[in-house]
Formats: sequence, C-alpha cells, structure tokens
Amino acid sequence: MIPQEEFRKLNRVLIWGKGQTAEETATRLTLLGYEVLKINPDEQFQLLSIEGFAGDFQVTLQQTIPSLEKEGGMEMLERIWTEKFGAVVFAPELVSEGNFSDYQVAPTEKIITLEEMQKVLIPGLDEFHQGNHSFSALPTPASAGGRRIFAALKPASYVAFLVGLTTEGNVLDMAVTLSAALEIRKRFQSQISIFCRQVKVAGEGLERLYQACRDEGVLFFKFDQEGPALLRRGDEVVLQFEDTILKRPFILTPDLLVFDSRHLLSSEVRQTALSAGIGMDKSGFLQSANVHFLPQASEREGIFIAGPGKGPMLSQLSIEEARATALSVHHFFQGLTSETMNQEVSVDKGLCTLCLTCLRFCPHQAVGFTHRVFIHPLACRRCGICASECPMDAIQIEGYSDNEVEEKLMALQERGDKPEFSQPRIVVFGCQRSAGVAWEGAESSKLKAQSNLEFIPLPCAGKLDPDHVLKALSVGADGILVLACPEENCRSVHGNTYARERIMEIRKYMEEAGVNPGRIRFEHLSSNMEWYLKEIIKQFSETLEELSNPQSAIRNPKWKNGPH
Amino acid sequence: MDPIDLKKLDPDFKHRLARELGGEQIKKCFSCGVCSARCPIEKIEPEYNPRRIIRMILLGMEEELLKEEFLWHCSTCYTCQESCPQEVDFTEVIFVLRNMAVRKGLAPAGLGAARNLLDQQGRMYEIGDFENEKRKEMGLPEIKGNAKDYRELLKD
Repeated sequence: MIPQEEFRKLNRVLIWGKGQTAEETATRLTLLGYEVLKINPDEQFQLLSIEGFAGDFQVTLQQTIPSLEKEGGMEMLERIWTEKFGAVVFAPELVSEGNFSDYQVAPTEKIITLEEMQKVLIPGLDEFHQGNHSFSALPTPASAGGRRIFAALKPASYVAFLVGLTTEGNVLDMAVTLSAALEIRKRFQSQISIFCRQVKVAGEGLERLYQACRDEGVLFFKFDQEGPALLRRGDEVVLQFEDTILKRPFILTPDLLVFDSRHLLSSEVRQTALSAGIGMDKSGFLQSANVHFLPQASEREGIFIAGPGKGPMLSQLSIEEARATALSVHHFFQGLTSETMNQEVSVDKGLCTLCLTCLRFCPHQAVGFTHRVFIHPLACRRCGICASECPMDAIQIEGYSDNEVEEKLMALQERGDKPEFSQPRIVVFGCQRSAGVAWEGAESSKLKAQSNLEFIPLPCAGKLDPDHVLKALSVGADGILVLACPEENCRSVHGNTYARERIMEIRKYMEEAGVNPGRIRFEHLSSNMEWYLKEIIKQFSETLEELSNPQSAIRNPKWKNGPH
Repeated sequence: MDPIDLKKLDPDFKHRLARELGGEQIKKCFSCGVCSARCPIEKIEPEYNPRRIIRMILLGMEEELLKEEFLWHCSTCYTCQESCPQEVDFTEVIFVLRNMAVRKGLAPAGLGAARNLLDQQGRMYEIGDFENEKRKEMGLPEIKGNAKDYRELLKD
C-alpha cells in the first residue's frame, strides 16, 4: 500500500500550446478555480519531459533567451527547471507550409498557396473562423503578394484550386477554398474550377457555402486517386485531366493556380509528445488512432489533448474542444478522491525483484519505483499486462488474481468428471470489455448454459497468462479459445497484440508437452459480435472433435500416444 | 480523343439555361446520378444519359450538346424529375435544350414535317373519308380539317 501522502493533489494545470484552443482551455480552467500555466511551444520554451503520475506530474521545462551581445552573435541564457502539475493539456497549433514538392511545381507569379490567398483575401481571419464566411470590404492589397494576386485576377480570368489531392484533405482548407472562390467570382467574374478528392463540408455553414459556389457557376472536378497532371508550357502550367462523369479528357491553362498547404505539428511538439509517451496517428497528428481515447484522452491518465494538434479544424470546433477539455480536466480532478486511490492492484514486496519488466510493458506509464515497485492507482487503467508479464507473479489484480482464476479452473475439473459431457470442453479467456459483453449477449441463445463452456473474463486480453492456459488444459479442457478486441482498438493500446504474441509462446509449450497446438484458438471479437462468437464456438468444437477422433485424418500422428 | 480546352467552352451557358423557364434549378445538381439510374430510355439507348447531359451543361459544352440527336430521345416520363434529390427539373431542362436547339435551327428533320402537318391539318394524322365513315358507323360526328386554331398557336 502506498502511503496517502505520496499522492499530492495539485490543483495546477499546465497548458502546452498556443492559439485559441489553449487560451480558451486556460480561461475555462481558471474560472473553475485551477491554477493554470500556459506555455507556447516555440524556440524559447521547450518541454523536456513529463515524469510522475496523474495528479502529480513533474514537468521539466527549458527556456532559452538571448542575453548579451558578443562576438559572433548573441550569448544565450539557458534555464532548466522542474515544476509540479496535477494535469497537462497539449493544445498546440499546426504549422503550415507550401505543398509545392507534393505537386512538383515551383511557386511563380501565377502559382500561389492557399495560405497566401487567405492572407490577402481574408484579413479578419478570426471573424472568418467564427462562422462569418464572407469577406470584409475589398482591401487595396498592401503586400507585394497581394498585388500579384490581384494582377492575375483580371476580369474573366481562369482560377484553379487544387485542394486535398495529395493528402486526406480537411474541412478547414475546403472552407477557405470555397470562401475565396465565391469572393473571387463575385468581385472579378473569374471562372473558377476546384480540383479535389472530396468536398469536405462537415462544418457549420459550409454546405450553404458549397451551394452558393455552385449557384455562382464554380466548377468542381472530383478525383478518386490521381488529380490532374501538371504540364509546363513556357511560363504557363497546363492542367490535364479526365472528367470523372463524362470520362473525357480536358485541359485548362489557369491564370492563377492555388495549392493547398501541408499542415504539420511543429518539431518541438512532436518531440515532446514522443518523450511523454503520447502517440500520434498515421497522418502525424497528435492522439493515437484509438477510439477509446476520444475525445481528449491519451495513453496516460491526466494528460489531455485538445484542438488542431489532432488535425486541421475549424475554430468553432477547436473552441468546443477547449471547453470539453476543461470539463474533462475538472472531472479528472473531481475523481481524485481517497476512494479511487483504493488499491486494486497489489505488488508483493517479498516476490518483486525489481526487474522492472512491468515498467517497460505498461502502456500507461503507471509503474514507478523507489526502493520497490509500485503501481500508481490513478495512472493505472487495470489492464493487467504487467501482472501477466511479471516473471515472479508478484503483481495481482483484484478479481483477476492467479488464485481467483485457478479456483474457477478447479471448479471446471470437478464438473469434468460428470458423464453428461459429450461435447468438447472449451475454456474461453476473453476481454471483459468486448468478449465479456458478447458472452452476456449470447446468453439468450443458451450459449452460457452449455456446461461444456467456461468463460473466464480478463480485464484486457493482455492479461492472458500462459500459466492459466496450461492449467486449464491440465484440468481437462479440450480446447482454449482466446478472444481479444479488434486490432488498433484496444483500450490498453497493445493488450490484444500481447495476447496474440503470448499464444505463439503457449503453442510452443503445448508442443513440448505433447498437446496439439490446434487446441488453442485466437480471435478478435467486438462486443456486438454475438453471432460470430457462436459461430467460432461451433467451428472450434468441430475441430476439437476431429482432433480427439483417433481415426481423424487431420490428427497428427505425432500426438497419437499423447495425453489427448 | 483530343482533350477539350475548358477555356474554349462557354461558361455562360449554364447561366443562360438557368434563366429559361424550367431550367432554374440546373446549378443545384451534385451529380448523384439518380436520374440516369432510373431513366428508362438510358437503359435502351445509353447515349442518352441525363447525368452526363447536366455535366455538359455545367461545363458549357453548348455547341456539342445542342447538335446531339439524343436530346430528342427523351420520352418525357418525368421519372428523373420525380427522383431528383436536389429538385433539378430535368425533364423541363430537356424542353429548354430542345427549344434552344430549334432556335438555332438544329431540330431533326422529322420535327419539321410534324410541324407542317399540324399547321395544315390541326393534328398529326390526316383525317380522310375512310375515318369519317368509320366514325359515322359508331355514331360520332364528322371531323373536318380545320387548322385555324393551331395556326394561331404556331404563329411565332
């Protein structure tokens, strides 16, 4: 038991980010009575590490500032310090850069980025973000870039937008494109073509904007994969493409060509996320692609992710994100009571040899050690991966301890002697979040009442223990079925993968013991897949019957004199 | 097939068509293709494809479209119009296109002959003694060729 005083309840929150999401989250949390520190991730400030656990993080920060001028530049002053916070919110903004390399063209008088166009045509960007998609009065462009754009937009000129052709595309770029297209059309009577994969309009007022564009005669060319080919002809660029509806080739030589930009996480934020154990999705944005973390949670309890760092979004949405995050943080602090600190996971001091296997395997960074290993009850999500990995069986989880599981298996042995058993006896180990629910659901079909089936719930498939599987076989199970959540859908990130890997290991043990490895089966199952669960059990029973039949063709001769 | 230069097409075509009676909704089309999927003519004559006709209008392919014979294949069953989720009155659009074609002198030859029959007889089929005798047997009144009313209607 960890002494209560080790958990310091700190009502302090660090917001690592800038822009309106960070500001709104900070404001909301301050109003809720928290002490908030907001730091911009930039060249001056860096977040080096987040140690410790939910409710009591030690965050190491670095500040670099220029001080005295000296030969060959400025002398930089560096300060590194550690502060304590109860929770951390990642709320960074994305950086945007021209996408010329993806489209394999160089910027010229007639080729610009959406960013440039936005700066010239949409001066009041905040207002634009707040749902007002029309432009303020036509400004006389002050910048050289602006004059260039206006020069290209002589009446009846042709303008082409290439948006979301090299990436997945996003609502924000589409909103800017549609607004700019409409405005150029109205002011300069230009002929506008928008080339894209999808017209993304999942935002307030965007469907209306899209309709307004079509009413004005803006043309949309949609592509499944490859967008138009860009051919150079002198200083002009020719777009060559096939219209997907007419299936006929077209060309267009636009007077102005506008490309979307690439939006990325800054390298500072990426590095911080990596060092803090916060995952990223396939597009390189914050938050692992795992539904269990939605909307703002991360791998680690007490670390939250909000705003455009998760991918470009309209500012309405990022404000909503900020508000929801503030509430999540508040909810998290509300949950820090002595009740939640009750130990459900115990580490046997006598058995633990401080090998730190648990620390390396924990997906939530919930394991710490001083003179002994402890599992932080707030950071722990009770997946039990550490308990299965512990070579000394020193870690036990209440409800899923070795003793409790073995008791269930012994009960099976007692029942096993009864003559009513004609069907193969199957022990099912399953994640209680998915397989457990499916099992309950299958009750109506009397699956549960079948005395040859025994369901042993696990907190996560990652808790599957080879010892238990071998024990089950030794007490008379004919087959073992292991059910885990679908790939990339595990609440404990890798629990299902660990389970699959352990089965390979168990198969080796089985072979050594003279048991056909076909007697263990692994399946991914969602909570609503009762029908599939029944199907698996039916198939598996048939396989097991085949295996037990001495005349069976699939029976490996090697096992003929084995125990089964 | 040589590529079509978008700049050589007439971007104003869709706007002009939208100003005609029945063509107002044309720019609402988002190319879902329900019209083509349910069109009974398209099943027999794939050349006639409402979705593609709308696309040609939006891209401004006026010259090519008005010359096409398939404009005259539509049986005006109104199935396309009834199924359109965007309320594009496509059957009406076909009438607008036919009117535009006629104005340009691009109507098919058969149409001129039909018009002349109407002009002279007041109906598409000639009524002679044979028909009137049949009508008499059935107790129906005699019909005399009287195209006066139709001439009034067909006056430009």
